[in-house]
Amino acid sequence: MSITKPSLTNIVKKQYSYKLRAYRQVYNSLIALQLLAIFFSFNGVGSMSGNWGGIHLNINYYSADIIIIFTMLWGLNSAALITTKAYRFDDFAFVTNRLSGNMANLYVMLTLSVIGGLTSILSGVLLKLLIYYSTDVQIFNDTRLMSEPNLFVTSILSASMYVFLFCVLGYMIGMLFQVNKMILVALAALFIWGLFKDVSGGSNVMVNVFTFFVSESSLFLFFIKMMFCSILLFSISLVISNRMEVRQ
Amino acid sequence: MTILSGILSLFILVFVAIGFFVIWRGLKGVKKSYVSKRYLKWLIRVYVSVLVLSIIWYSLLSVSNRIEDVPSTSGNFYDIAVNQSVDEIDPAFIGKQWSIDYEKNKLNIGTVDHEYLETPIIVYRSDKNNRKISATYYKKLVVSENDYSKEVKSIDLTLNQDRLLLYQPAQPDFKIVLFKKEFTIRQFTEEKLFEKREEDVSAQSLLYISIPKDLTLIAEDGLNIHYLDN
Repeated sequence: MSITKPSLTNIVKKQYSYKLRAYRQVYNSLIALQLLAIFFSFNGVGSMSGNWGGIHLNINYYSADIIIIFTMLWGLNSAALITTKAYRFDDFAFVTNRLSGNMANLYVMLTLSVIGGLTSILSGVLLKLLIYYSTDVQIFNDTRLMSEPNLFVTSILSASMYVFLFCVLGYMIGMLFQVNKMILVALAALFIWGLFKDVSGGSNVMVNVFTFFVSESSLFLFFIKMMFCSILLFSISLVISNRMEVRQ
Repeated sequence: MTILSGILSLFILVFVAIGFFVIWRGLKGVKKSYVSKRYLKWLIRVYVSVLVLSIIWYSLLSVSNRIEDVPSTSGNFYDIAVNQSVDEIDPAFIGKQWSIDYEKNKLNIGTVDHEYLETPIIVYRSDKNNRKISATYYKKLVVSENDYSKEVKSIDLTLNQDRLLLYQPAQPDFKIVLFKKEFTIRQFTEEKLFEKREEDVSAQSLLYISIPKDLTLIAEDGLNIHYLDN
């Protein structure tokens, strides 16, 4: 019988700080992916040229969207990694239960999302700088995000929320995979079905899911949608993890 | 809607395929890969420093960005001159003005070697016989609320006996880089998610010529002239 009474908060705190250090290689992949995304973004997302009353214009559009999308995939992969045996058994180095382990994982995912969201937006600035010096242009026009701090902060927050959603999705898929390896095939089939299943308006299920988040113009409603879906996905992960076998 | 839906479907398919590949590769027999702590610390420090320096550097660049108050006129110069009045066009868009005394009753108008002049021309016949030809060249190049009209070279106009000669100088081929906001912010602004913003760029020019009441104007080939009657 021990005289120290462990509290859930302390255990979660300890596990959280341990896991952040243990998962440090995810930063390695984050940097690699963001640099790769910067490279892919160099071609731009569109171009337009023409003659307007004797004024010849060559317009190239650039965007940091690919960097954010790659960061979302990084979040998906990093969270799925946490669920693998190699990392999951780290919990047993501490006095732990499923709840404390999952809570620590949740905080780790939140931290990774903020880091991912922040660096993806900042990488966009790096991309602009690289394009500024590498292209021979007369007019360089950006949205001057830096001069609008509220937009800059909103952009980081929103990117972090997207990364977090993909983290909890990856966490749930990872948990399902640990239960049954064939689950990934079933999920892939579900996604393909969603792509071909038409719904009203000439679009399909997946497009509707996509536009459910991306077309939300109210920041508050977007936050509510993100939180609701993240909580739902994480709750599913909790239920799955509670049904998993204990370590032998 | 169906084209957009198709593009979105393709985008999602590629995205999901990459996602599954990443997860499958990650979960299949994953082993802890230990990255050297020292190497990682060094890598993170360098990356964060580069990102922070980029912001500072870019902020300094933005300060020197040419930003001028965009004149108020919106819409097409040609339509404004034809349907309303040329006076409705903001004088800030005036590139050059000419006032030429001309006594004869006939005038030819053309270009060097009859080259096609891309600038549309509007000829207004005045109700007076003041023996004066006046011309105004309007030019506009506005990119994302920044006015670059001064960068556009004005055409030249000279009177050679009874021929009004128009000359279009070689314009620079304007290379423009436009940055779209990230989709994480575009969805909260008026900017559309997938479409190019053609309204970001407004480029046009117009030559408005006012001639005396009884002057006979003979237009040569290569001109895009519209006559306005008084």
